[in-house]
Amino acid sequence: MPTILVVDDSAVDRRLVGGLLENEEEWALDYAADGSEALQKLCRAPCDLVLTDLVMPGMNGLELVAAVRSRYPHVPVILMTSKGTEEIAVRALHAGAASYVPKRILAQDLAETIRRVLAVSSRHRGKTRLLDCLTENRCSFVLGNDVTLIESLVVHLQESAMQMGVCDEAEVTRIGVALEEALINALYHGNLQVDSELRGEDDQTYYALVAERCRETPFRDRRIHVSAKLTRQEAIFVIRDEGSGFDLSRLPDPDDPSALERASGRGLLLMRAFMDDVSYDPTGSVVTLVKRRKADAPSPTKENP
Amino acid sequence: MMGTMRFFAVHVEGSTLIVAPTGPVSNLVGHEVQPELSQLLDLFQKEQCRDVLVDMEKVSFFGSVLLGALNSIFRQVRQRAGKMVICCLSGVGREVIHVARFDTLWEIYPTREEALQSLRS
Repeated sequence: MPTILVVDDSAVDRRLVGGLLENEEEWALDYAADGSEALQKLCRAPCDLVLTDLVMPGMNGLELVAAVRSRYPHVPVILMTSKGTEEIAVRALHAGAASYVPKRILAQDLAETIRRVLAVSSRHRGKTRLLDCLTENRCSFVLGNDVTLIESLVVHLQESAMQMGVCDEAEVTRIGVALEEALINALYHGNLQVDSELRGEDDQTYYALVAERCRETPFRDRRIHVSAKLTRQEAIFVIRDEGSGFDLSRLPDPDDPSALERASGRGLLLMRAFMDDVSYDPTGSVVTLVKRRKADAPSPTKENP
Repeated sequence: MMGTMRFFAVHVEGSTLIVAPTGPVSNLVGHEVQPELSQLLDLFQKEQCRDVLVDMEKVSFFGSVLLGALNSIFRQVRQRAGKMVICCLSGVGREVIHVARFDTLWEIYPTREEALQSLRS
């Protein structure tokens, strides 16, 4: 039976809402007088939906939406709005509230709105539970030389790694930085064959050459091939460009202080720092990046330890 | 004088150019960062600044593109025998600078006030 937490500082309004929903036999109701009490109750036992007033002393509805979104992202929040609070309601919706019902039409709309939000939430929960059972996720992409697609791909791979429990919030940023460096290398230095030595010396010429080669054959027709294999233990990303390869030994020795200010090799340094393993094939056109789940990381799911 | 570009908010205080990136700087926008970097360097010359303070408070992450941009600024600072200080780095940002070993060239401070203080002393 779904539990609905009603949050309102007015005892009269809590009773009113309770009266409207008590007839719905499929729902259990709980009450809190403000945002802080609501969070305490959620901490003890997460509910299925939060129905909150917008204007309350202490933590208001807007702040409660943000807190619930952050700590209990699967718990939807519906706002009850009064006349004059529409602007705050819009901000709350932007902050992640699932819906809102004006207080003046609670009797007509509240139950139906809750029913609709719970149905959507239930589908999401089902999908989340299913994905918790996923043991391996493989995907492959072939991209043109399009920076905007690279950005989307990095986000997708970061989300996949998080979903598989390979990394936490902090680690996922490092994965993103490493993947970005690898993909930019594949695009600029691999497919477009723009020398990294030019960067840092004359950035304007560097990016002008990038733009020029995006229009010229054979550079413009080259593709970036990306494959990812993610399990509960590790994420393996393989990135291949169609350029003529490069000689790794040309990169400056990172231990050489004179190499400090040279732009080339900096991306590889970051990739190596943020991934557990980075290796190139002999041609220099294929890089494999591996991120392993930390041994002390909590089990990603109950079903799949 | 003050000004805000897409990637950098800029403010000149005495002989110090204060640069604050306005958000995370992805490597994928290098071609867009480059013209703003040129503007920054022009401003540094025009205002006859000597030192640079880079406030990274709004930058949760960055990669080699921003590192390269910071290094370009640092080169100008060095030509003027000035000092470049960085403040308010995120955890990942601090790692990025450490991995690239720029923490051996640039002084890093937890707050803007401490960074400014170091330039005054």
